Amino acid sequence: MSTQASTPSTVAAPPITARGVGKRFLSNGGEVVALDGVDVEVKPGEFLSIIGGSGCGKSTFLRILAGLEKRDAGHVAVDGTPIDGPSLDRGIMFQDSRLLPWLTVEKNVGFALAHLPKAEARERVAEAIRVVGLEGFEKAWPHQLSGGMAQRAAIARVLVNRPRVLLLDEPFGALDALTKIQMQQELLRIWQAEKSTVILVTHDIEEAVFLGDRVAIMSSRPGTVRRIVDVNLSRPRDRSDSAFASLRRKIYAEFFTVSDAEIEFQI
Amino acid sequence: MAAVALPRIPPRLRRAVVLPAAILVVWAFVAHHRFVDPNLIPSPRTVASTFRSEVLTAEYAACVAASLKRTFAGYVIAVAVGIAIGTLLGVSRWAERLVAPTFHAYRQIAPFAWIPLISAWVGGGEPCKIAFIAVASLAPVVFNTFQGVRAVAAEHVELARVLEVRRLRFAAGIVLPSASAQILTGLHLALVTSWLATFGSEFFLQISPGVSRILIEGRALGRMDLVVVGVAVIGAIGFALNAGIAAVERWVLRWRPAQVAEHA
Repeated sequence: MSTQASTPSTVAAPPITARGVGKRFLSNGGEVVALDGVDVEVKPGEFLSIIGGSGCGKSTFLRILAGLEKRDAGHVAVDGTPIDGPSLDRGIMFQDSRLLPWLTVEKNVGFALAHLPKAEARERVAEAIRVVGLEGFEKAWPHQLSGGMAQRAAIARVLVNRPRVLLLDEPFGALDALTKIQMQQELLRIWQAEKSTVILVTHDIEEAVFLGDRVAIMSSRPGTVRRIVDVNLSRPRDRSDSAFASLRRKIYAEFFTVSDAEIEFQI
Repeated sequence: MAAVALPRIPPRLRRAVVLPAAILVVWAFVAHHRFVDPNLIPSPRTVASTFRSEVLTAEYAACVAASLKRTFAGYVIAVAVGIAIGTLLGVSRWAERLVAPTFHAYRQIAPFAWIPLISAWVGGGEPCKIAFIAVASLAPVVFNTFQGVRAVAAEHVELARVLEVRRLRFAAGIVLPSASAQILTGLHLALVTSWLATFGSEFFLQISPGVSRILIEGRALGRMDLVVVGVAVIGAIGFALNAGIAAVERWVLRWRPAQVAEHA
């Protein structure tokens, strides 16, 4: 970056600690245990994938880390500081881009920068737009963007705030397969450049393995982390690699019986 | 000549002109053959000459200006008060429970019912006219602002939390734009109402310079040519105001994928 950053943004990616996290919801008068005793330790600068079926509470867990939901039990902390509400230091991305349709791409990206001097805000926006590869679309309206471009803009909106933690809630879940692969590679590039701590929630095994340093596998009712698998594959990773395939199969076997898995891989 | 010029007119406009043209033809026919008393239905020619002598004058231009001034004065008050009340009702459950029932009762009262009260308080002059216009136009602004503000998407509220957006910026940057389509519908209705109420205020309150002067004179003198000209002028100005605010709506809402539908 050409200018001096006003905040020491990416200097130190923080560790994230979650211990005994529990969450209950009331539904139809009954109580549903969404999360029970979730323990996760994320190392500074690590990329953790969390995978689980729908309803396992993985999104709820991420929302607790984002400060959007209150936990009923346990302890969550970033860099030792307990999480107590949302913070720009923890950028979250959702499955939908959540761009504000009445603002152009650049106004969306800079939406949270109202407190900065104009020139600095403009520079940060331009930088973020360049990082996600949306140059030339600064003045476009969100409805003119494709799904992948909208998610790029959403990434840029997170990056302008220079968060040390990225929380990604199935960010590519609504994209087509090719765009998804492209966006995964972009995300890795951004992560390696920004050196932030990343937690990605997904239901896509290949995505979890391709991106994560480790993959936390969640099971449902009650939602809890059943296993954490190390992904000891060098980067850049090759999806057609046999080590990649066997790891993918190993995680697959966590969700389905092995015979199902065999059928899958005979194809 | 007509055959050459015709294709240049857009089909929509051509269709819109059919009915007025037919009315004009029937009217000219009826007037020409004196089927009815010309004092009741003056001929188009008489009306046209009255239009030239009464409307195309500096004096009448001043009357139009005076009317538009009070229209906009009343309208601006209605818009400012209406958006404030509507936003408050939409944002605060508590305010809604407290104020909404009274507001819904207020909506049921014909604006003319307020004339005795308003004129007792502020007299029958200009302030009274402006107050009447404001009172008449307030309800659509409040109602539509309230509906629009209340319908702000939960996702956008969450986004504001994640981005640590402050209260004022949340209101100006998220709530108002997301409610803007509905608010503009209210502003549109209110402008139309303001213009109608301007005529009402001139007709029922103290006589003062205004577009309705021709109409009031025509009625007093029993001259239907004046009345017809007055009606036409009021209609034309109303039409222009409507087209103007529709254009503003399209411009403000240009971020939307589909263009705003034309208002009836």
